[in-house]
Amino acid sequence: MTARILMVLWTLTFFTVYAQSPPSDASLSGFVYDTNNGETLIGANVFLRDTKIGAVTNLRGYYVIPKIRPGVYTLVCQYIGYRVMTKTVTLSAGEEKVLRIDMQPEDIMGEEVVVYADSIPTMQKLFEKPISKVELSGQQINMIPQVVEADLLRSLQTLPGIVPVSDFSSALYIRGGTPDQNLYLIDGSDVYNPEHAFGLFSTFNTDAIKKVDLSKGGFGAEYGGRLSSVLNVTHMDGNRNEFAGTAGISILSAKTTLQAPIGSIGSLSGSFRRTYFDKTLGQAIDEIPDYYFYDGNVKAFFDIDGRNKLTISGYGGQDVLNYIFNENADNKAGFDYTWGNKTGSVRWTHVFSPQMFGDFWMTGSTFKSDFAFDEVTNYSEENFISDLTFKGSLEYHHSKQFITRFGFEQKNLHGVFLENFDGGKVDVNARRTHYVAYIQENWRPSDEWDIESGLRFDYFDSDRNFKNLDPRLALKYRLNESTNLKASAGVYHQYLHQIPRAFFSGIWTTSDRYQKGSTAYHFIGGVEREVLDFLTIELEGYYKKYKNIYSLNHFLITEVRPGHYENGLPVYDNTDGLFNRGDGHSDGLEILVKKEAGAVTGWLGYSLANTRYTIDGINGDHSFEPRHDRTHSVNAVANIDIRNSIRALKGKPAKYTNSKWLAGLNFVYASGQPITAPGSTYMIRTTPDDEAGFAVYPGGINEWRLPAYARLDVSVTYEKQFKHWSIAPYVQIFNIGNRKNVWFVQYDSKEQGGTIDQKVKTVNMFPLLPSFGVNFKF
Amino acid sequence: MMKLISTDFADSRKTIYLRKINGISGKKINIKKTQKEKYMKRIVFTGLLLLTACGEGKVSISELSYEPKIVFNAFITPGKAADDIRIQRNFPVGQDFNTDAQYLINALVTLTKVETNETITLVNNLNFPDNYFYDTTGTIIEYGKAYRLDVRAEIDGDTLHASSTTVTPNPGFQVVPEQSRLSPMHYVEKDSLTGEVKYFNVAFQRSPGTQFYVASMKSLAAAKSAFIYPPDNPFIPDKFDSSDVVKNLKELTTSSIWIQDTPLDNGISETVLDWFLFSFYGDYRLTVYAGDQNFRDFVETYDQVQDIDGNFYEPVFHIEGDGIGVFASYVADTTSFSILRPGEN
Repeated sequence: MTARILMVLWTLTFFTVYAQSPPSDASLSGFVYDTNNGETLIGANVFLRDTKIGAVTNLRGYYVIPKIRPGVYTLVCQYIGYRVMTKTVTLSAGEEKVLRIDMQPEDIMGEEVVVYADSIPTMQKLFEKPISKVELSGQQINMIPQVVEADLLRSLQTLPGIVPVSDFSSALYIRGGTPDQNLYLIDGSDVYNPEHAFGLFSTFNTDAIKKVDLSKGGFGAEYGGRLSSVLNVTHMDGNRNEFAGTAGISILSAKTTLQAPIGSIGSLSGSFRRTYFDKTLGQAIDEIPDYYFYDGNVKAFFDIDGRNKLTISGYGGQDVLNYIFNENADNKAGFDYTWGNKTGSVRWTHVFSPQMFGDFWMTGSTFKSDFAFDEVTNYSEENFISDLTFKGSLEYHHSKQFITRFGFEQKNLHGVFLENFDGGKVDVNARRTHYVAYIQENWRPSDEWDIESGLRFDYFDSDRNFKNLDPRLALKYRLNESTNLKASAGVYHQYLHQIPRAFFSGIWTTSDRYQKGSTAYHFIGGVEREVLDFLTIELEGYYKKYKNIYSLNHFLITEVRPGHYENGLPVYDNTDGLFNRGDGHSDGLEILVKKEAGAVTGWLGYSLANTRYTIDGINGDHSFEPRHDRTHSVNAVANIDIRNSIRALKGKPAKYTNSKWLAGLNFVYASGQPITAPGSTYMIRTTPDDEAGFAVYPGGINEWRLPAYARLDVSVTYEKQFKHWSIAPYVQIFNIGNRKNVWFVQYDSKEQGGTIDQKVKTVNMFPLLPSFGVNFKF
Repeated sequence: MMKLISTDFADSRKTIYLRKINGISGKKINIKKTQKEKYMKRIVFTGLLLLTACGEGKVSISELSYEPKIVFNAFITPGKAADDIRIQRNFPVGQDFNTDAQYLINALVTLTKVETNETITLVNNLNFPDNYFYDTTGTIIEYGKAYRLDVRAEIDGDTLHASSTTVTPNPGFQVVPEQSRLSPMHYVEKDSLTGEVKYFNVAFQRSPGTQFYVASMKSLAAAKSAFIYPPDNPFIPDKFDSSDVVKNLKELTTSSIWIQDTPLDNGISETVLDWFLFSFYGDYRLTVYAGDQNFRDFVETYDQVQDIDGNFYEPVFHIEGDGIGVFASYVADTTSFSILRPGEN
C-alpha cells in the first residue's frame, strides 16, 4: 500500500516536470577548487546575488546554474572556512558559460576569522542538504576525542540516531537498523566489513578523508541495496600545486598521508598507517597477543580537460593476529587470523554539455578472512565476499527548476564460506548478480519548494530471482528565511544478509530460496531553523517499518542439516536454517543543535527512539526491543580554541598567532540497553554419566535494562605553526570520569558443603584510557 | 543584504550580536555580568557532564523476575528400566541453595508409552539422598518407541505441570574397536615417520535413523598429580598451577564432543578426539551416546545461552508446560583408552 501511494506521487511529479519545461536561456557551470591544493570542493554554494538563483557543487565539485536570463550578475561562491568569492559575470542570450571558481581558504593563523553570518546562505546550505543527511570533513572527525585514534565510525556515533552497541564496537546502529543495513562506500566501492581490531576501529583512515556524507534514512533513488543508511566516504584527490603531507604517531600507530601534483594534469595522494603495540606493549605484557593492522590507500586524479576527469583509487587493509596459548609449550598450540578489505575504483567524469554531467565507474571490492588453528587442532575457515561493479550516474539540468538524475548498476557478487573441521565441512559458494536502474526528478516550482521523486528498479539474480520497484519522494519547503520544513518517504530493499559474530568478521549471505529480500519503509519529517546567527537546530521525526529482516539463528546448529555427504562426513552447502525471519519497526525523534563557527564549535544532540522486532520463534513470537535500542541518548561534542574562548568570555576580540591550544570534549549519556537476564538457575547433567553442573535459564528476551551509560572524553592539543610545517602534540583521555559502564552481567556458582553459592558479576566496558601522540603537517 | 559579523569575539561586534538578540532598541546590557554568567554556566555545565560521567552503573539482580520451573534431568535407554529420572526445581538468580533442596521428592511422575498409552507411575528412590531419582522395575524401555514423561509437582506453593516426549533410538549402535585408534599414546604424540600429530579416534556403527552422537570422555585418574601441566600442555598458560587444577577439577575431569550430523543409515562413522579435550594423564572412560533430538538440542543449547556479548538466548528444550531441562533417550557404548606420561610405555 505504502509503495503504491509513493508510486502515484512519483508519477504525478514526473509528468508535471515534463509538462512544464521552461524555455532556454544562458547557463553557468564549472568546477569549484581550493586554490591551496587544487582539490575540488563538495557542497560549495554558488549563487547569483539578489536573485536566489544558485546551485550547490556535487560530489565532484561541479555546479550548474541553467536557464539564466541574459544580463550582468554578481556571482557569489561560499564555503565554510574559505573566503567568499564574488565575481561579476555577463551572460548573453544562449551562452553556456563555463566558469572555474577558485576558493581561497581563510588564513586563520594570520588574521581574525570573519564568519559569514548572513542567514540566507546558511539556510540555503541547509535547504540544499537532503533530509537526515550528515556531512563531516576529515578535520571535524579528527577533532573529536576517541579511543586512542580518531575514528570515523566512532565519530558518527556522537550524532543523534546513531548508537554503538558497546565501547568495544565501532559498528553503527542507525535509527534502529543493524550494521549490515548500512551501505559503506569508499570512492564508489562497497566496503563489506569496515572494521579493524575486532570492531574497535573502523577501516577508514581519517587523514585521507576529504568528505563524509551519511544519510540516516530517506535517501534518494541513486542509493539502494541497504535498508537503513548510506555512508559515502570520498578520499582526497591530492594536492595539485605542491608536495604536501601529514604524519602522526601515537601509542597505538604511526600514519602518514602524502600528496603531490602529477605535472599540470593531476595529482596523487596516498596514505598508510600501521599499528605497533605488538612491538611495544606486547613485548612487555604477555596477555597482549601478537596483533597489528595496516591499511593504505592511493588515489590518482587526472584533470584531462575541462570536460573529462579520471580518478583511479585503491584501498587495502589487513589485520593480522597470531595467538599462541602458551609460548613456552613444547608443541605450540594457537591460531592465526587475518582479515581485510581491498577496494579499487576507476571513475570517469564527463561533462557532456553544461547541462549534462555524468560519472561512470568500474569498482571492485573484496573482503577476506582466514582463520586456522595450528597443528594440534584441525580447524580452518575462509570467509570471502567480492564484487565487480559497473555503474553510471548522470544528471541533466533542464532548467533551474528541473534536474533529472538517472543511472544504472550491475554488481557481480561472489561469496565463499569454507569451514573445515574433523567431522565435516561448511562449503557455501554463491555467485549472484544485482542489476539496478534508477531515475530521479528534482523539481523546484518556486524558491520555497523543492520536490524530488525517484524510482529505483532492482533485479537480483540468485537461485531465485527478486524484482522490486522502489519509489522515493522527498519534499522541502522554505517556511521563511530562517526555517525549512522537510519530509521524505521511500521503499528500500536489501538482498544481502549478514551473520554477525562478536569480535570476528561477519559472514555475508544473499537472498535465495531460503531467505527473501528484506524491505524497509521510511517516513521522515523535519524542521531546520537558524537561531542567533550562529546556531542551527535540526529536528526530525521518523518511522521505519521492516519486513523480512533476518536475525541469526543463535542455535542454528540444531536446525541446519547437511546438503550432502563426502566420505560419510556432512557438507553444509546452503543457508537453510541460518536465520530467523522477522518484522519490526523503529520510530524516534532527534534534535541536533550545531555551532560551526567561533572559538567554540560542536553540537548537542538528543535522540528519543524505540525499536521493536518480532522474530519468528523468538520470545514466543512476541515483539521485543533489540539489544541496540536506546530510549534516550544525549551527545555533546565541543571543539574549543582555548585562548580565543577565554578572550571571548572577557569580551576581547579573537587573536590568532602561530600557535594555539585546542580542547576537545565528547560527552554521551544513554539510557540502558535491553538485555535478556536469567530468570533462574538450576543444576543439570550434560550427559547421563556427567556430574550435575550449574546452569542459568533466561527470562523474557531483552525484558531487562542495563544501567544507563555515560562517558566523558577530553583531549588537549597544542598546535604550533612554523614557516613550512606544523606540529601538534596531543593528549586525550577516554572516559575521564572512569565511569564503570556495565557491558553485561555474568552468573556463576561455587559449591561448598552442599550449598550452591551463586556469584553475580558485572563486566564493564572501557575504564579511563589515556593516550597521547603527535601530528605533523608539512 | 548580507552582513559580515563575527559571532562572539569583538566588543563592537558583540554589541551587534547582543542587540540582535534583544532587539535593535535593546535593553542596556551589563556585559561584564553577562560574561561572568557565561563563565559560570560553562563551568557548571562541564562539571555536570563530568559528574554524570563518573561513578558506576549499578545492577540490581533483585529486579529479575523469577518463575518457578520443574527441571527435568531425565534419561531413558532401550533395553533397561527407567531408572534415571531426576526431577528437580530451579532457584532465583543470586540465591544460595542447598543441593538436596533442588530435588522434588514428592512429585507425581508418570511415564507413558505413547503407542499403547500404557502409563506407569515412577517411584522416588530414596536410597540415594544426594541424588534422588525416580525409577520403576519391571518396565523395560523399547527401541524405536515414543515415551512421554509427565510431572506434577508443587514448588513454592504453586502446583506446576510439565511433560516431554522422547523417541528412543533404533538398535544397531555400537563402538567398533577394530576401526578405532584407542591404543595408549603419549600426549600430543607425533608420528615418527611423518612428524604429524596423532589423535585418538573412535569408530562406531550407527543406529539407523539416529543423527546425533556425542562422545563423552571422563578421566579416571583426575587429580592434581595427574594433570598435564605446561610445557607439555600447549593449551593453558604457565601460570595455571595445581591450585587451579583443584579449583576446576570437576570441569576438567569430563569433556565431550558432538559428532556432527552423521548419515541416517547404519554405516560406520568415526570422530577424532582433539588433544585439547584432555587434561590428565592416565586412563579415560569413553562413552559414545546415540541420542534423540531432545538430547541433541539440549546438549547443543543449554549451556550456550549466554553470548560473548553477555546477552542470553532461549535454549531449545522439548518440554511443554512449566518445565525446563531434558528428557532424552539414548543408547550408549563404552570403551577406554590411556594417555601415557612422558617416558612411560
